[in-house]
Amino acid sequence: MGSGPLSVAKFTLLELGRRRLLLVFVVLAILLTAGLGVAPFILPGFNSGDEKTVFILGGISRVDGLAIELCAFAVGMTVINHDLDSGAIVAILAKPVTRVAYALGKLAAAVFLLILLDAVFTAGSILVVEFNGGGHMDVMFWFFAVSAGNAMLLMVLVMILTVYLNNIIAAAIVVAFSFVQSQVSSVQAMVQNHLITERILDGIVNVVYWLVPHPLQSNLERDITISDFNVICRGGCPDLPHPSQYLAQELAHIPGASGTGDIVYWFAYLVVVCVALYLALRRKQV
Amino acid sequence: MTMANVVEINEFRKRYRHRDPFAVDGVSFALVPGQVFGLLGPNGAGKSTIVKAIVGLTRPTSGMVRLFDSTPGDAAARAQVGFAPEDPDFPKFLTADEVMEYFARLLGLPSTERRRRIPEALEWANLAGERRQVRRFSKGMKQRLGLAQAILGRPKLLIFDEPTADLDPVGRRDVRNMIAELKAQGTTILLNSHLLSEVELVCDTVAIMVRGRILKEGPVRELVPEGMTLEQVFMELVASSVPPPNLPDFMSDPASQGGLRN
Repeated sequence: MGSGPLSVAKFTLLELGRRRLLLVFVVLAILLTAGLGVAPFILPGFNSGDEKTVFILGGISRVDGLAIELCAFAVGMTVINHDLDSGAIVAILAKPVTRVAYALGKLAAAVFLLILLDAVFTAGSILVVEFNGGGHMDVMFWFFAVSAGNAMLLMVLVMILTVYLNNIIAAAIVVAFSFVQSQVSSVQAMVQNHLITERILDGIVNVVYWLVPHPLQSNLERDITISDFNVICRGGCPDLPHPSQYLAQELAHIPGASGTGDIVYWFAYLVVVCVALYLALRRKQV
Repeated sequence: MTMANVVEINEFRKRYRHRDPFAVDGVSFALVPGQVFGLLGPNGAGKSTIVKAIVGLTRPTSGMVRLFDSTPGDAAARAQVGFAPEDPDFPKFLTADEVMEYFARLLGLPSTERRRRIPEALEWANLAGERRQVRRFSKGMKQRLGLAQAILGRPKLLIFDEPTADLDPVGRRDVRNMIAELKAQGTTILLNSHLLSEVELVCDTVAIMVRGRILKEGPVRELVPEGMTLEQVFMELVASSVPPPNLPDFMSDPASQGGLRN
């Protein structure tokens, strides 16, 4: 990167660091994660390791998963839109900075900040799990890596849309898109686990899966489901005639960890949206 | 194109959307080095659109805009331009110092020059020691910061778009003095302003625009006849193209005087 993108990135980070809304999201996530670590010691009903695991991992997947997405939206909604909305972009782009340098600088700042926040949440969550007996480190690591990857794509999509739309409308469109993405992944998991056996439907779902960019997955949700099953069936499962079949059926609805193909697809998708952001900025007349 | 021209605009036309009328409709003029050129016209005449096209912020629908024998999209050409936009704004969570540092880096100034120029420019703009973020600035403070950042790169071409609109009389005097000093140094200046008395004082050449077209262009001494002012010439030209609006009827209706409750 030349000095143009670096300067844009540096001062964008300085600005983002002063945004109170982002700070509120980060502080809330840290407090809630810390609360998850302390709760098993002060609340009744945590008799086994599996119960703690279900509570803590379930909490982390919800709290930190949501926090990283909220941070991505907060960054994506403001990182370019603030310059456009205030008119600051007129003074910036009148300087000898190319649109590609501006786009690169904005992307670098946003991605760096997101990764930094993700690292903070990962470290906090690891501490919380360690404090409660440890384990599940690899699945936790991949959960946070996957969360950052998915949030990054949503963030860049919001950034693209804010070049031409109001930032709240842009965020709403991306939330709807994210919902469609997760539904496609769930249906595809059902196909892969033979819950959908109709050949034509099977084919359509697979085509849609590779057409609609889908989120990366970790095995965290599956681990939580298995631990939850262990808690329920600790003393046997009189209500379930075939416990292992029941567990298999539950797991069939949950997408498994993404493979190499999915990761390559994610990376290609990231490159495409970054190029789309540059093209949107290049066409923009201010 | 003459190599010596700082800016050359030829048959420039611009409309923002297909169904809109042309904001600028076939404008041509050139700026030679050392010239102080005044672009005059009522609101909506297309002056700011021309200025934005010169600094590469907007593209012509047709026609040509050249800047230092290159295109406005060329960053090297834009490095020689200082632009003080109309109603300026800056990254709002930065301080004046940081905005200047940011822009000095975009201009590629080495650190020694940055350390020298930024305090001097802020001192001139009466913003030295200002620690508040830009979002807390008044319009006048933003305008002064806009002028300070425009001169930071010691440009060969300075473009001022309504530079005194939000300034108090002292600020206006400072801008007038600055333009006079820069003119004496040989800097080319393009000035958009409604303050015709100021334009008359500092500009060599003016172009008067109405509804996207240049109605008259030439040296001030040729355009303004003996015993007249630029303002009178401007009003004569513009008044014929833009008739004054009538006062709304309700303002002269005695029955509707006061609020509805009266």
